[in-house]
Amino acid sequence: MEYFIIIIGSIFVNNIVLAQFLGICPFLGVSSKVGTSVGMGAAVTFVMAIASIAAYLLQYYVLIPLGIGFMQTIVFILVIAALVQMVEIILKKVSPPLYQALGVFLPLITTNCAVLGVAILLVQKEFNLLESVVFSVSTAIGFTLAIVLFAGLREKLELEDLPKAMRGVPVALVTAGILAMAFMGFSGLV
Amino acid sequence: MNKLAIFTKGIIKDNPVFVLLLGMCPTLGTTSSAVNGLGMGAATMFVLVMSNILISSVKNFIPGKVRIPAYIVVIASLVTVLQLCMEAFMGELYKTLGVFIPLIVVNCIILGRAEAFASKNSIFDSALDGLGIGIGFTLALTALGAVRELLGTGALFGYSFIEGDGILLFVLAPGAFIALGYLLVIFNKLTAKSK
Amino acid sequence: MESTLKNMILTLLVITLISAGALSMVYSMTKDAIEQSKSAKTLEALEGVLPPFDNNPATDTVTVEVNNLPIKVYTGRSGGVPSGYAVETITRKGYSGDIRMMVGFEAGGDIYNIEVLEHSETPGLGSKIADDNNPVLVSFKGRNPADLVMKVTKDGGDIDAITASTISSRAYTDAVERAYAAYRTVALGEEQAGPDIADYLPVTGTIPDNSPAGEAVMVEAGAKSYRVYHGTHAGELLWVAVESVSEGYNAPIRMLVSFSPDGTVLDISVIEQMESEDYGAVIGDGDNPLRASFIGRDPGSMKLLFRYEGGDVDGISGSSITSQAYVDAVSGAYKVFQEYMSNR
Repeated sequence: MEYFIIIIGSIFVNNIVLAQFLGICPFLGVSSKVGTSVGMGAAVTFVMAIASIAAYLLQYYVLIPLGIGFMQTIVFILVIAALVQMVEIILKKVSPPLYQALGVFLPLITTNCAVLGVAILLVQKEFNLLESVVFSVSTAIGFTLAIVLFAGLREKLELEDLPKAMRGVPVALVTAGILAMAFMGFSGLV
Repeated sequence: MNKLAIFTKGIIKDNPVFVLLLGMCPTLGTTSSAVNGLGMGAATMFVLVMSNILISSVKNFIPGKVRIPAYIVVIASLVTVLQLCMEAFMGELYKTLGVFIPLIVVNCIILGRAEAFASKNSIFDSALDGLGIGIGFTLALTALGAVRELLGTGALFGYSFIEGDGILLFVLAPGAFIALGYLLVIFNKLTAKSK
Repeated sequence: MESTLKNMILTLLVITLISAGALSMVYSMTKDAIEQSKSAKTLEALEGVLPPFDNNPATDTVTVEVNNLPIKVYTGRSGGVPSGYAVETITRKGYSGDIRMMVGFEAGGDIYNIEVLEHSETPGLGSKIADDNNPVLVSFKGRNPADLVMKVTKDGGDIDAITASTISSRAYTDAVERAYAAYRTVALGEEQAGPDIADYLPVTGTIPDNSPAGEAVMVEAGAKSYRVYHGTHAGELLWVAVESVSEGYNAPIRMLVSFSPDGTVLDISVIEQMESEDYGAVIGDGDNPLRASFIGRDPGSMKLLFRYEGGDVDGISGSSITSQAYVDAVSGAYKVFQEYMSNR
């Protein structure tokens, strides 16, 4: 039950993009086509799951025992950056097709605040290891859901005749606002 | 480029939010009121100016291939200093801004300025650049916060103008997207005319 | 600078070391200020919800468990007598996330004031629970939860909900209910201890020259806290009495188990019970077989099983659950007694 609440909560109710405003850059930047946004979503899910495990282990087996909790931000960001690099290198060697699919998105993920955000949040919420993984994966699924839905909307918007000042990002933001409104319908669900 | 131009370009011409569309997460996430927007802007400005100064002063000692990790360490340290000081002396604001304070680390504006400006220019110019961009960012956040607060609660900087509730939607998540979207439209219109 | 491997590693190492050094310096400088601002916040909240006090309630605390959530209770005293209790309570039923509140009770149980410490309810709607004089707060202020039906009016209760924020109002009520349970555990325990408990304290040849009923201490054992009384004469310990609660057949059973300093049971009294008449209720009798099994013996040297299980305890026939609760209470009290003696 506890896990079910975490899953529903982080996919729908507290959607990372539409309710918590994390990962907006890729949300606006890589969402012009459904295909690429699926790839981005998959890459984020992959990295977020690994990063959450790394963050959990670092927090409870390194930072707290050493009494240097204040180094959290600096340690997390370095580890995430290194992790992304490593994932990139390993994927290239082990699974070239997967690398082909996700590779281009990986460098973008280091500065995706959603990944660091989730790492910090799971410590703040005092999740255990399994809860942390469930939380990060369902958050990433929430991210994928939002970005894919949004890409679908934007593909249609491309064809519309809009006032010049409205084209591009402004209309995308307003659309995101309406999507966020739809997601508000989920609140109170858990 | 003269000093004044370095300082002013970040405010309107290269405004990080309205023109470059950078730092969207804190822009949307912390602007539920004008004060919060101002606080977040000021916090980011502090890190931006300091990181520009520090990176510009050590730029000659950093081997090119490891410059990005080095910049990240510098920025992350500055953010941690900010975090500790805010927690100690500005507890309320720190709690309101929450996770967005540590997330200043991944604000693309800061790493972007370090890479594009501070690593190539003098210390003084870098400080000016950081200050200009920082003010531009702060103004944008304060403006968005003010619009949302005014429409959402009928108040501005906490002073109430209208009796009763405002259009609550603007304080909530969707309102952030919509308000920023239309502010961009207005900004585009105005700058298009002046060109 | 050139990008040789040595250069790269050296630069990163130097930068990281400088950063770490600078950070630990800033950390040690701000550490006290952070602690201070945190404790100042707690004290501020306590001042807001407690009737006037002259002690430092922030250090006069007991943690009790209510529905598996640890709840901290601060006691405000004036002239040593409790003037009120502040309960730091929490609910998991908020609209978006947990709500933490500080609920202040007067010594008699009337709610003095309530402050919301932390919430993430919808701004402009649920967030009104944190406002001064919002309808939910007004429904509680100055009233005793014992006299209220602790539900919002929509659910048939006495609590006015905030318009369009029923879920937040329900959560608020839930938190107050939990606070009241914690208040009862701490305050009523203490209050009843004053007049009643003297009747249950053991009587030995030597009359204590301290005031046992007034000098109770709380002893933590197995994540629960127990009230422990002691009698002394001329500085010498006469007896130790432990108030122990266990799950009875119908309701919790509250007992007082007294020990001699050497660990033998002096007396066992049942203070509160609601066991079935003619069955479990027999534990209240002075000559019941359970009590007789323990009196004069050291529970540590006994086999705490019933006769038919091959142990040393005579149960009450037909009331095995009540008997088990009785044994649990005595063995729990014995652990607390040992804990108390080892700290004395």
